[in-house]
Amino acid sequence: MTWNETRSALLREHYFHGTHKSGLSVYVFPKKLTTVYALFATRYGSVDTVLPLQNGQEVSLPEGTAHFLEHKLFENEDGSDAFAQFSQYGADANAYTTYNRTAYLFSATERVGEALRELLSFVTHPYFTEKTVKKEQGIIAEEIREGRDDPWDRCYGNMVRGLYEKNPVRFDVCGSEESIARITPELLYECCRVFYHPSNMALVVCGDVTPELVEEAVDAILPASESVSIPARKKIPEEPSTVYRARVSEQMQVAKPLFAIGFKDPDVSPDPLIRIRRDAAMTLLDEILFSRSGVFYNRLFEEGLLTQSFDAGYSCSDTFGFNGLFGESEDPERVLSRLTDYLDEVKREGIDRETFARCRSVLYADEIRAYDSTDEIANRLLSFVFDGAEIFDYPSLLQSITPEELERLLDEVYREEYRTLSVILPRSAEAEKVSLEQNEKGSLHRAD
Amino acid sequence: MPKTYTLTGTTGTGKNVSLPVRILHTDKFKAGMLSLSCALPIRSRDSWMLALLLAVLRRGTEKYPSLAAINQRLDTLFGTEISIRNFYRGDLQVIGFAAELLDDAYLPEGSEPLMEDVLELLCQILFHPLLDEEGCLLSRYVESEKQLHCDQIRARKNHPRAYAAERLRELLYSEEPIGISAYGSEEEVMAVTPRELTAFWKRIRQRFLPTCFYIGAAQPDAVLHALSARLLPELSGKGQEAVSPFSSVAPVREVRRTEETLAVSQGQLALGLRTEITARDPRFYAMAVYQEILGSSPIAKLMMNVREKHSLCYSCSSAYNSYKGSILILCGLKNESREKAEREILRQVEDIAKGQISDAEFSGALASLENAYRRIEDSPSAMEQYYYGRALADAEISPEELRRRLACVTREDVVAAAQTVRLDTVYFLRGTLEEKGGEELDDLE
Repeated sequence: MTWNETRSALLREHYFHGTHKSGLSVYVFPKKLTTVYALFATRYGSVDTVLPLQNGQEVSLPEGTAHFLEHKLFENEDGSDAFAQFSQYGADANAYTTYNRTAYLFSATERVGEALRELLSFVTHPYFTEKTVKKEQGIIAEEIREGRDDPWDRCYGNMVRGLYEKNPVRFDVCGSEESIARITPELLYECCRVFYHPSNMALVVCGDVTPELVEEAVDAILPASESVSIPARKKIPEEPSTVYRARVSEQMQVAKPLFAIGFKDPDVSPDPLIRIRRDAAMTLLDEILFSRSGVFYNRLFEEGLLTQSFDAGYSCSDTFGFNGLFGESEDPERVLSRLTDYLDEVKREGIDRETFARCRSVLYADEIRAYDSTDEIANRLLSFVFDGAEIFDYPSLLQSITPEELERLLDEVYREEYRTLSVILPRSAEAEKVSLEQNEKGSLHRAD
Repeated sequence: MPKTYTLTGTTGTGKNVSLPVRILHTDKFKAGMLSLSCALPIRSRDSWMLALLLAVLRRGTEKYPSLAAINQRLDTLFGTEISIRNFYRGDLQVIGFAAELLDDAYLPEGSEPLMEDVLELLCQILFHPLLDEEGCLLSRYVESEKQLHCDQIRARKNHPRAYAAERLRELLYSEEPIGISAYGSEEEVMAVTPRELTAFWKRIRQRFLPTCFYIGAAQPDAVLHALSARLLPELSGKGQEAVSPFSSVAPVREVRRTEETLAVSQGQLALGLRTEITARDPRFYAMAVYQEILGSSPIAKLMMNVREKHSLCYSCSSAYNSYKGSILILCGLKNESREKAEREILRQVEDIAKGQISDAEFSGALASLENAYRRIEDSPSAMEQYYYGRALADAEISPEELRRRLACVTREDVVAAAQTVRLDTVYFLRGTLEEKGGEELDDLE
């Protein structure tokens, strides 16, 4: 394996990249900390809802398949569990699924070579039966229920479903109890074959390790791949640039209404370099418009319209992009109308140059601080790798953004036709009454 | 190990004080951590008054009169973050502030070191809140924070898992200081006047003799100098009473069961167990291994049986409070699985007491603890939490020494520790929503 080194003088960090003969991209980020953090990930997430078969045909996948597969891969053919093996190395293993990736990971402070081999091995050796698939359906059903009882989760998910009409980003990563019931062992095997080819994957290791140690582990587990099959192309249905629904709401067990205001980005570029610049610009714009030190938050907070829970953030991938504002308020509609007024004001008057400089220095510091944990470094590096961008370019990218660029972006994205308000309302009085009556019955139960 | 320094000097009121300062000098991180903490016995009313007070102090100071001004000041200090500390440790309530600040080596050229400026801001917040002409905390801020505090009281049910855990703690610790509500009731909170809160602030300020902690690349001399210049003059030096997190004793009583309902789709089962073993007991190390085997290691009995073998839940785990000698077990499940899950959970507890621990479970637990305590070194806040906690428990040993003692624990030690564990409280939060399918959105589809 040939290793290429990339350095950042500003951050005083460096990493190595090489392509293994199996087709796997390998990244090693040396860091003199005790914990080694490793991620083995595939470009396959909940938005990949179409599976291309060997015979050229396609099948549509039940929602939640990528996440289901993530759970199932931990189970080995001999009935043992990958967790058990990691636990003997003192390694803490886990996995997660997002819209566009599935990642398997561990953090360890010793026996890193062995843990790496285990990571590469269990992910590439699938084993599923009717029985084990059935068993997992019960566990994931509880995970789905947990998510359904989380009001912030619902508020966010509903916002995305309001923004997008057709893009599968609108589906819950876990799927539904109904959709996961349709998953079979055959389907899972086929997903592994297509989406888990090493050339569709990356290994990122951060910590006190050498490229040689990582290479040894990869060599030991992954065979050379003669013909590197082309990973499945994502098929995303055509999506209108305007939102699907301007308003969505749901009643849940909350004391005060929660809100999420989403703005659908009308211009998501297929070019990763343009996308990463837009990501940096949107993040800086969020800091200027919506930070805790900013005019908007403080005005509304002092008036009692907002609480301490308030946040903003931009998410994007190659097929979608949106900015979200999240908070709690007795009157989300008023927050929305105040937001509209505020955005008009900034559009009219322009961005205050002093605020611009202050916010940029905050993001600069955030960027530096992000290099204090192997976990954070590995996950960020993976994001940049999968997005096709260079992680060390980010600080200089931030520095190169101008106020004028942000003012154009403000005009372009912050428009009514791109906006969805999602609200979680407290349950109506009627629903509360039923719950109260049951509570009274419940307290009788205390006597035993 | 951090080095302990004693900072001596004269306070603003002319008294001589000495202040413990713990410094761990390291250039491993790009951002360091500074904390000022004070431990007080948990007292009814004080418990939530402190929460309210800290929030009001964070709203505005003489020099930085609004939340916006404080936050903008933090921005100019290169995104320094300050957080309110307010948590229980055994019978003590720890209050104060912590700051995370960028190391000087990473500041743009020509920037001033941050330490003194950050301390100045912390001291403004702690000792110089914005007062009205009559010397009272600003009523606008007090009233606003009272509302926000009451919002938090009402929002406790927003997160069923956290709510069940909190209800379990209230029931389990009903006869101990730790069971005193950290929130109070809406009526009590709304009744507090700015004058009362101001008097309370003055009382706390007199007693506020903080423990200072710094982990980062700044030279110890510079840290001590900054503390001596900025903090010492602000203290009143009255000193505080000697406190211990272990002052109360858990009652021995019959198992108590409580069930309540909430309009959610999943039920939450919460079990509270007691043991006489706390952090100052020589058997603490065996208890830590026990806890890993039961519900914390990646192959813990609760995970492998309640979840993997019986598919009863997505998550089921336990947590050991070594100040109180309690173990809290939480499990989210279908209402109808409740009895079976409780039986299965208690079966795991009994199995360990009977010595049914596999080699893999035992070695996995030791490896998991080894890993967890080694990882502390990778995070300033984890180190601060570890050392501060050990100091409070009066059991100051390094993570290396702690790991060495854990490695000496035998299976027999674990079984002996397991035999001290008894069930005390069972709490079930029944979900009253339909089991099947998600609810349709009002305006969607």
